[in-house]
Amino acid sequence: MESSGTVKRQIHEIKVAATLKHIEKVKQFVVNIAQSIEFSPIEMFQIELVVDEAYANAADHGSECCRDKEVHVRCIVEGEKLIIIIKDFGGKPFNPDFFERIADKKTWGVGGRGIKIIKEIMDEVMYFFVTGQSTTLYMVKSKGMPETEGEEPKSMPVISLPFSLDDIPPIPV
Amino acid sequence: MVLLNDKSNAQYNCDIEAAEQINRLTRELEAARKESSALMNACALLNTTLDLPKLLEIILQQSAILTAAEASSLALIDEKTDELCFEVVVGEKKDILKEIRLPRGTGIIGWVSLKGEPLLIEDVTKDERFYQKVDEKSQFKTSSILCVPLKTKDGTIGALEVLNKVEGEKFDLNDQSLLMALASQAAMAIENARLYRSVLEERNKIVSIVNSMGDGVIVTNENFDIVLTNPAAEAVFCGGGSGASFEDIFKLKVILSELSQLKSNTTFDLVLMKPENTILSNKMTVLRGEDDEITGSIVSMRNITDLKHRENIRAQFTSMMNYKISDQIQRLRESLKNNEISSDGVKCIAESIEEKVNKLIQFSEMESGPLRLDRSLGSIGPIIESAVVDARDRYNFKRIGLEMVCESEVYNMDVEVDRERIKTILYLLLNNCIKFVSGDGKVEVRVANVSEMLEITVADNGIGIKEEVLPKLLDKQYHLENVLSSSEASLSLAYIKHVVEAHGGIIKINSTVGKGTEVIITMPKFIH
Repeated sequence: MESSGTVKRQIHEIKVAATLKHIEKVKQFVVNIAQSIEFSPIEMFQIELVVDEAYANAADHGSECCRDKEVHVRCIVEGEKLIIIIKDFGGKPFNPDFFERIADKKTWGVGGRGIKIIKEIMDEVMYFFVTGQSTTLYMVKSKGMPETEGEEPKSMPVISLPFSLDDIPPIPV
Repeated sequence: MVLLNDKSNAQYNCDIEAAEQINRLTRELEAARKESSALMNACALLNTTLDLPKLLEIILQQSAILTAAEASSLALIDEKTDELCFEVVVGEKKDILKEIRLPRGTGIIGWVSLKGEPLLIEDVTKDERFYQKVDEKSQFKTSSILCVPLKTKDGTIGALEVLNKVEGEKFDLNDQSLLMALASQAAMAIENARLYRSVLEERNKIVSIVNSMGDGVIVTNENFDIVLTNPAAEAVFCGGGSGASFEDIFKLKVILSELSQLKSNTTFDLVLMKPENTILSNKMTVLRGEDDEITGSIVSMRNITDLKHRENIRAQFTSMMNYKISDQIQRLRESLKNNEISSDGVKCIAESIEEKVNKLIQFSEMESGPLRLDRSLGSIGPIIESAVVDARDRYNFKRIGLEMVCESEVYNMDVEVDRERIKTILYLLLNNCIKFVSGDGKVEVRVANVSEMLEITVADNGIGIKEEVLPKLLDKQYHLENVLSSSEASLSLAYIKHVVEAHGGIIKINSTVGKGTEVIITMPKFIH
């Protein structure tokens, strides 16, 4: 537990090998912590989706040069706020702004759309690149308005994607 | 009555003498104790401030108290002018004495500061070193002076003097010892205060420089806690209006925590995507002490958001064009393979590909700076006519009237231009007209010689352009921004402007919604 002034923070961390096979483990780690904030089912689903995208990017880019590299996932609970920090050690900077801009126009190739989703869902998003060393993604999600007590979600939450899955063509040669 | 014999009498006298001696020694001891206490008190007071004017006042007050003097003054050597400058004096004459500057060897105080030795003068009227003018200016009558040098390890920095012992007494060697002891401490305190002042001045200078910088600057201590920031850095992290103080911004703590693990000079990028929309290119310089231990760090942050934005737009444009070209080639290949396409279809796709390739070429020409023109001398008429005829064949001018208006003498007028590029920009202009002129519309290309300048006007009676869009039409960035949002977006007007400007000319667009548009190109006929 760390405190700054009146703000108390609970910090949790998990370190896994940079491989996609740990994606469920990482998601479960984040979800368990997020439950302490009592996010709504929609928010929990959104957080899962974000971790899915963010971890997949980290594992993918963080293990390109070396298979035994790790991905560090830190979750910090600060009141009704969840801070997720995902750090990989690939050290390959990219331009998230470009991917985010092009995501809803791009109809070729794969990748990039995760950034758009992350930005749509999270309240704060920051990338920290140290070329050749690491990429750190910092995200914050605050608990939204509480639902009416006892009311169950009427249907599965719908995430509005800025593109249709049919739009994604095969990579042109 | 008690009668004392001689022996008893002698003993009595001896006892009185001893008692007097004890009394005298006790008084002397008490005086010495008081002096010592006063000196200690004075020295302690010297350490209570690093503010130089305050310190000088304390020195003067304490020196007068310590030596029971009517007044005291202090002069410091001004290294720049090699003069003695009366910094301050106790008493009502403070302002007058402050104005006095003496050549370094002048007066008693000048002599002492030059020689670095103390001087005790009981009667100043008998000493030729005494400088009368200070008394004249201060209207103080000096009779006796005790003056001691103010010495530091680097030499004499000035002198301290006390004037006229109170109640008509005279300064003695005891006073001199006391004043020397005080002066020694005072000189050190003055040096410290001066160093502190210069450190403060340097700090203020650095803070002013840092604050005036356009780049954000964050200075940390060895624990990577923030000790100094400038407005540019605060604007980046506090601009979101969260109301949090700079030090409390958690993402900044995360950044500094990451940096603290690097332990060496590092360049890094930050992309603050939400709630801000800022891209920062940064450098951390680690500060190290004599033993190579980390004493702090300086992080400079350059806002490259606009630069990256422009780069992104360009990258999007080329990506999109490349994709469209490869997509059309793919379709063409498949259609040919299945024999599903006519020769007209092939021609149509080929022209479409050619158009896109031309757009990429034009884009790269604009990106690479001023054009190198391939000028040649010849009549303007045939160039324009050729472009008009080609455009008529190539574009859909079957229903729309396309006319060239050019007097014969202008037709044959010699110009020195890049013929191919002039033809290209005319094609582009006419292609634009096609999009905005209805079936019964009319397009006119006029060529004229106006004040020895070549003037080409392309006018149509199409739908016209809204007034608010007009200023943006020739802006390359505006068109690039729209590349992805509109399939019709084109860089052609920006390219036309680029070519016209390479010829030393200007382009102007007049338009009225519902009435039509007129593009006027004016350029010199020759290079000179």
